Amino acid sequence: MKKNTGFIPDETYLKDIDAAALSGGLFEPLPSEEKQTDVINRPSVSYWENARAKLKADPLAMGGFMIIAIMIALAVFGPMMRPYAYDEQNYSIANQTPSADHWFGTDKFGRDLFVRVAYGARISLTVGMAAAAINMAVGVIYGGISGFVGGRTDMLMMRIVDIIMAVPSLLYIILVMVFLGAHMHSIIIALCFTYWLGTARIVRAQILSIKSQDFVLAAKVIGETDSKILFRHLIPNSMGPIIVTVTFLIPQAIFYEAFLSFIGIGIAVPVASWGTLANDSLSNMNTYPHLMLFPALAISLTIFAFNFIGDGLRDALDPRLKR
Amino acid sequence: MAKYILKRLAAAGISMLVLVTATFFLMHAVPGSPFSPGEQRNVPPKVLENLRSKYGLDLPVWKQYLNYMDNLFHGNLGYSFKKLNYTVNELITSGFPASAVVGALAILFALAVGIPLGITSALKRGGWMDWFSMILATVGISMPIFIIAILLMFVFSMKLQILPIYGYGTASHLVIPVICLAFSPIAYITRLMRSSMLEVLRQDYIRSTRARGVPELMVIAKHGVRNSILPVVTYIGPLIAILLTGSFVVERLFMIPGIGRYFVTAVSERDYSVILGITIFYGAFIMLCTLLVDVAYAIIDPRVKFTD
Amino acid sequence: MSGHLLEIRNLRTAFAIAGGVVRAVRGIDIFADKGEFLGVVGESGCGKSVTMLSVMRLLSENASVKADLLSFDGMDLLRQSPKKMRMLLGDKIGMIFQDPMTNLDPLYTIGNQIMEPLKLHRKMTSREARKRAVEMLDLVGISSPEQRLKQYPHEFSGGMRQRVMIAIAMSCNPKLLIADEPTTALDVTIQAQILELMKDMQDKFATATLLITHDLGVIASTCSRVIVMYGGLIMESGSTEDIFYRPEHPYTIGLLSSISDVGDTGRKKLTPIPGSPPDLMNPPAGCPFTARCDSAMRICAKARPQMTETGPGSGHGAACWLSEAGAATGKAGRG
Repeated sequence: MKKNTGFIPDETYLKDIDAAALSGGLFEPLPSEEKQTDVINRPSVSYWENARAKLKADPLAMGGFMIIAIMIALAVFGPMMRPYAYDEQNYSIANQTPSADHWFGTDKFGRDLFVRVAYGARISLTVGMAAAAINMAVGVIYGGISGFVGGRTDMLMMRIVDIIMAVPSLLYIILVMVFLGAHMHSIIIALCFTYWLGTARIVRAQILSIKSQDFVLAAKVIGETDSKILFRHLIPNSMGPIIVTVTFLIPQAIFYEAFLSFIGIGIAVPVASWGTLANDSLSNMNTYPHLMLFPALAISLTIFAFNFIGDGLRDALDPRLKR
Repeated sequence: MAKYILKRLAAAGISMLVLVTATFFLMHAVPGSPFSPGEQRNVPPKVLENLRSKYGLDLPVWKQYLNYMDNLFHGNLGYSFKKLNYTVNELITSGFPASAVVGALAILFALAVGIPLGITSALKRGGWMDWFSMILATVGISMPIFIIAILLMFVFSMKLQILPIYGYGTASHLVIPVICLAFSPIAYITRLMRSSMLEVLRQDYIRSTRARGVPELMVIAKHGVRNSILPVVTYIGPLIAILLTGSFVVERLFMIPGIGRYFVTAVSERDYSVILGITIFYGAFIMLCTLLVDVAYAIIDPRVKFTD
Repeated sequence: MSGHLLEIRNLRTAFAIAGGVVRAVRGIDIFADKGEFLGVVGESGCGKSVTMLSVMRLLSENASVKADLLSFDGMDLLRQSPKKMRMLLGDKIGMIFQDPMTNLDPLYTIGNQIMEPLKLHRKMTSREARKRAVEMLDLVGISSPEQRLKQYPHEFSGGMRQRVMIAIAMSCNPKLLIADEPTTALDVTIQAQILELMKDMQDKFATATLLITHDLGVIASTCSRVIVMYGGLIMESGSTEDIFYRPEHPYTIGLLSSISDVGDTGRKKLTPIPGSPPDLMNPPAGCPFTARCDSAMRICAKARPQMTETGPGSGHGAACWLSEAGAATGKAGRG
C-alpha cells in the first residue's frame, strides 16, 4: 500500500484483558454513567476568540505586527531621536556613509537619511491607514446599502461600480494627482476615488448571503427597523472579509504612494517620502548604494508586514477554513 | 456569442464615455491653461493668443468638449500642447511598438514561469520547489517594481556589467525590463496556479478519473491543468493593468521609448492633451483586452453561457 | 489464493491528521463472489467508503493501509505495483461515486470521458471507442447517444449523469463494480431507476456488485448479502433475509427500527438510535457501539467481541458479546 508508517496499534481483544478483570461481573449490564455518550471534548469557542487564537499561533502574522509596530515607533519618535530636521541641508557632510552621527548616512545635500526615512514612515503609514479607513467606510456604506436594499437600486449601484472599475485605477489616480497637485492629501483623495469599489463589492456579496439567513428573518419578525438590522446584524456579521480586504488595501496604498513619488508625480521635494528617497538615490546609486538601501528596505518590509498580517487575518477570519 | 460581445462592447462604451468626460473636465478644471501667460514666460503674448485660438482653447468649455468628442469619433486625439507639431496620435503610434514588445514578452515570460512553478509547488507540496515559489511569491508581491528594477540594474548592469544599463534596440536591452515587469505577475500566477491546482486535485472528478486507471501524469496534465488554469486566465485582464503600472517605471528607468514614458513626461509637464489622449487610449486598450480574455475563458470553459 | 473474487482480511486503515491519528477502519474481513450483489451498510463515517478506497489505493498520502490479505481475481493486491494496480482500475474493477454532479470533469465532453478508459485499457482507436461509447450510453438508457456524446456534463441532469457514470464504469466490462452511495444524491424516483439499471447491468455482464450505502431500503431492494459496519468494524454480516428478519446485533436492530417502512404505515414506531458514532481518533477499547447500546455489559466497554456465526456454516454472524457464550443473563434484557 502507500507508505506503511505503522502507526496503527493493535486492537484490544478478549485475550489481551488480564485474567483478574475477567472474573468479576463482566457480563453484568453496563451502568449508564459508565457509557461515554456524547462526550463533547472540544470546548465551544466564539468566532473572534478562535480568530485571535489562530492569529496568535501564526508566526508570520505576528512578525508582521512586530514590524508594523517598529515602523509606527519610527514614524512617531524617529525624527525626535536625532537632532536634525528632515530638510536641513549641510553640504560639508554630503553623501556620508552610515556612522554614529548619521545612522543611515546623508544624502547629496547633507540631509540626515535616518530622519528622512522616519519622515517617510509618517507619510507612508498615514497614506496607507487613512486611505484604508476612508475606503472601508465608503465601501461598507455603499455595498451595505446596495446589498440590503436590493432590486433596482442594487443593480444601478453595481452598474456604476462596474463602469468605474472597467478602467484601471492607476489612470484615475494619476488624473486626480495632476488635478490636485503633488501633496500627501491628494494621494489619499486619489486613492479614495477607486479603492472603495472592491470593498463595496465584497460587502454587498456578504450582505446578500447573510440577508437570507434565519437570524435576519427573526430580527424582522420581532420588528427591528431596517437600519438597525443593517448596522446591528448584517455589517457586524460580514466584518471578517471586510477587515481582510482593508488590511490588503493598506500595502496597496503605500505602494501607490511610493510609486507615484518615484515617478515624480507623488510627494514633492523637499518632503521625504520613501518613493522620493528611492528616486533621489538613483543618480548616485553606483557610488552610494546605501541611499537606495534604506528607503527600499523600509518600503519592502512594510508591505511585507501588511501582507503577512492580511494573510494571517484571512486564515483566521475565514470560517470556511475553520477546522 | 455575437450578442454577448455586442453587449460587452456597449458596456465598455459607457465606461469609456464616463472616463473621457471625467478626464476632459478634470484636465480643463486644472487652474492655469497651458498657454496662459503664467505658464510660458518666454513666449510673446500675441503668439500665445494665436496658439490658444489654434487649439480652440478660447472657446467655451462645452464647445471644446463637443469638438473633442467629434475629433475622438474620427480617431483624432488632437495636438500635444508641449511637443508642438506633434499630434497625440503620432506619439501613441511611435510609442506603441516598444511598449507592446516589452509588455507581450513580460506576459509570455510570466505565464511560462508562473504556471509550471505553480503546478510543481502544488504537486510537491512542502518540497523545496514549493518553498522557493513561496518565497518568490512573497518577494514579488511585497517588493515594488521600481525597487526590483533598481536592484536588477544595480547588480547586472552596474556591478556585473553583463547587461546594458538602459536603452532600447537589442535583445540584451530587453532582459532586465522584461524580468522586472514579469516579476510580480510571476508571483501572482504561481500562487494562483498553486492554490487552484490544490483545489482541483481535491475534486471528486480527479478521484473518479484515478479510479478509472488513468495514469497520474495524464490525470494531472489532462484534467488537473485544464481545470486549474481557469483562474489564471481570468487574471490576465488585471495583469495587463499591472503591466501598465510597471511600464511607467520600467520605460522611464530604462529609457524605453514607449507610451508609458511619454505619459509620465506628459504628466510631469502637464501636457493636458497628451494626458487626455493616452488615458483614453489606455482605457480602450485595457477594456478590449479584458473582453478578449473573457471570450477566451468562455471558449475554454463550456459551462459559461453567453447569456448575460 | 482464495476462491472468492474479492477477499479482504484484517484490513486496517488510518489517517494521520493534524491532531493525531484517525483509525477509520480497524480490522475487517470482507469477501465478494462472482456475480454477487453485496451491500455494505452503515452510518456516515463508519469506514465503509474508506474500506473500498483502501483496497483500490485511492486514498490520499496521509493514509496508512495494512491488511493480512487483499486478493482480487486470484491476484494478491498487496504485491501489485502501482502501475499494475492502476491497470486493474477502470478495467477489471469499475467504480461509481456518490455525487454525479461532481464526479465528471466539467471541461470535457461525456464522450471524451467514456472513451478515456476504453482507449487506455482496451487500446481501442477513437472510432472503436466512440462506437462502444454509443453502445454503452444506449445500454444505460440515454436516448440519442450520438448527440449526447458531444455534450458536456452540465448539460445532463443528475440522474442522467449517474447513468453516464455507470456507462463509464461498465464500459470495459469489469468483474467487480463498486458503487459508493450511487443513489444518495438523487431524487427518490431516479434512485429506483438507477438501482434497477445497476441490477440490469449485473445480470447482463455477470459483474459482482458491491453497493456501499447508508440506506437499508436500498439494500433490501437489491442485495443478496449484507455487511453492517459501525465505528470502523463489521458488526454483523449475513444474507439480506437474515439481516432483515433475524438480526443479531443490537446495532442492526437499532438500524432496522430507525427506518420507516412504507408497507407498515402507522403500526411500527420509529425508534432512533440515541447518541452519535464514536470518535475514531480515540476509538473505545471494546465494542464501538457500547455507548449507544441498550444492552451493553461491562465487558462490552473492555474488549472487542469476535465475529461469531449463529450456526456452523450459516453465513450469518455478529460481533457482539451477547452472541457469545455466557451472555445468557444479558440476553433477557435485549429489546
